Amino acid sequence: MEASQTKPTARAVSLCPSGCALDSGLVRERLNRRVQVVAGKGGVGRTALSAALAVRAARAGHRTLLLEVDAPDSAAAQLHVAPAVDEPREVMNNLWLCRMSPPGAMREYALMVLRFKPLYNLVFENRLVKYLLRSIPSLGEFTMLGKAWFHTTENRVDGGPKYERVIIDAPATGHSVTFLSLARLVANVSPPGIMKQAAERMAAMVESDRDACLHVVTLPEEMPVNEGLELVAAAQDRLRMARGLGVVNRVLPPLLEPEERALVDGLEGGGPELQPYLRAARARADREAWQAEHAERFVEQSGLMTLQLPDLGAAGVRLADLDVFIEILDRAAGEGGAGG
Amino acid sequence: MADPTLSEVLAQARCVVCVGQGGVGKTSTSAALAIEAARQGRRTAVLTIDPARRLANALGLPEIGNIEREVPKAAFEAAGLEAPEGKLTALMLDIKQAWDEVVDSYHPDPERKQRLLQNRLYEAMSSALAGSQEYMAMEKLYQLSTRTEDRLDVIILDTPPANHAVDFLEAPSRMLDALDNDATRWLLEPYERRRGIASRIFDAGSGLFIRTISRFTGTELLEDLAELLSGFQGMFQGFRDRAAAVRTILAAADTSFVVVSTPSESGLVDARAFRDRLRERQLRVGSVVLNRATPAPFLAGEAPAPEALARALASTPELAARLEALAMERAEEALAHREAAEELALETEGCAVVAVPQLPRDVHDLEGLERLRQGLFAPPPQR
Repeated sequence: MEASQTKPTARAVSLCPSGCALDSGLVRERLNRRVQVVAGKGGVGRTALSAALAVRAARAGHRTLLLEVDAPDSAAAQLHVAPAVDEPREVMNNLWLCRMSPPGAMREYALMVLRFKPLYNLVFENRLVKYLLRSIPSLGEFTMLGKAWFHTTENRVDGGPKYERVIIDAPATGHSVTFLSLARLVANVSPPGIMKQAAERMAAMVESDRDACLHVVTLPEEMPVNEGLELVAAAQDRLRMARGLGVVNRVLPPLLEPEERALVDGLEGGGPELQPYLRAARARADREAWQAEHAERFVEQSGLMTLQLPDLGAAGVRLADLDVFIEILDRAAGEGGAGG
Repeated sequence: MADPTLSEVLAQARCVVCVGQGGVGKTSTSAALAIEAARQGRRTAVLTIDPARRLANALGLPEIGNIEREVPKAAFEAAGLEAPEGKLTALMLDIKQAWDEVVDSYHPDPERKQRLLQNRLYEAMSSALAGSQEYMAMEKLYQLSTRTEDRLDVIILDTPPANHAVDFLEAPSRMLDALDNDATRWLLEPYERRRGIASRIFDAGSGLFIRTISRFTGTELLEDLAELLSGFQGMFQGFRDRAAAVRTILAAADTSFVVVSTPSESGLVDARAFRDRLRERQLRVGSVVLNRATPAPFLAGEAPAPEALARALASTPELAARLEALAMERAEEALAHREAAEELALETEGCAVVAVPQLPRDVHDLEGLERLRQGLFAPPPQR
């Protein structure tokens, strides 16, 4: 990974499909939805964005739950807090963190349905039954979606929602489409009963154009952009989910200002000892141009309002870097200077 | 004994399996290896898992998979490249279709086969069942390596992205275990007697279990599951036999694994872990390919000349400083990558370790593959 020469700043620009300007009101509205799902190919920085969205909401005073679905790079590590467990735990003021794993979610769901722990232990802890449940395709994902839905419906004693914002760090692309489409699928194929009812309500949550949206994260590279575009298409056709923001992560900040370019090109006529510098500058410019091409392709074909997040170097995301992301989100929402 | 070159490794292999994490250029590396094998004059097939659409197009693959296509010689010529001497074919794995084909060609019972293909869970299973992709890649490998007409000299197999080398090797048996085990046989017993799951609810022994599970899943889901599993009856032995045959192919002396990674710190950790896991299983690691090594800005005989740079950009000292920092940073990174590759080569006997310089663009056409091929097979740089 090429480290950026310029100190990382919130300088990266926002992009939007040709013929429209970035509407900060619209961005703000998306960032204020109750349920925000963050999806994208593995390794593009879903967790970093999810953490930034969650911390931003929590700092703005909203009780926020960050749900991790099978995330290998955990949000806990990025937030420098203890690893998430199966139950929501408050890790910062107003910010709860919770992990979702198929066995954990299955257990919770089963206990909720059965309401009788000894029976659960007897049946579900049985080796054969464990095996059997594992062989039902997507049952694990379905119960995780159920858990996510359950947390959005939890209320406090005063009747208000327990969590005002729920950020879901979804699994990698293919799996997240499966994951999010399960509710509708189960609702459609189940006979009337407890499962169908639950699935209907989950589907209503996913498909709500008022309360939920899907953010798509990508990198300015061929495959991540392709997967991002597939996800956008799937969100529209199969998931019927509202569009959130596009995010192109790890964009190299431009090394040279346009007027500096001519100066650097002028080195060509200089001595041979200058050639290595020219070579390094060109390799960097090539990378930038190549990234810009992919970012543009994503924006034009997805039609999403898209933010670009800067490449912060190879090291893992630090708390300070989260602030860079949050600042960019604030700016795009026309709310500069918040946070800290 | 000197380590073999990648070219030698390839020339001696009948089967090359590329393994590695996602996003390290595994698919393009597989394709570039295949082109090289064809250039060696051998009849070559490359089986890709998930190529970028443009790369698939470059290889002449249609949008939908599982169809073996020849990469036309004219395509090379159109890209200004010499066409390889050997015939090169490519195919892309499509999981759903691969399942259909396997069920269709191996199912012993026509009636069960139809029921299976129409089961509501079947489609979900073919895409969602963990290990399904790996299993189907192996089925395809088996098919390609055992076919008698139009025989292949070498097969290059791209594998699904994996966190561990053993994922690819173990996924098929994990998948088979999920379909065929004590539990599924127990569920199937009443089904096989055509009494349906519901009858189990009244069984003295298992009634409580089935009743409790179906409160959780609904009876219909269990019925569907039983029908799905029942549909597979008669196929499991064939599944296991072919998986065993593939294990023999993978362990054969003329099979080589190629670990694909990057020279970054985490990439090197992955590369070593993949190498060790494969070796633990007595599998031959023919090569480690480290993609995206930073090219050195200073070539042999060139040295940093900050004063000359400062003089040339005297009016913009800040720009000169920035350029110098960039060049030095890249030089440092290039050195680190080269040294890491050398260290890895030293500690990995009998293995070709290749660091491939970062290409200026993504590989998505034959021209890009040609550049990658040159990077893979170029003679090592002069010290």
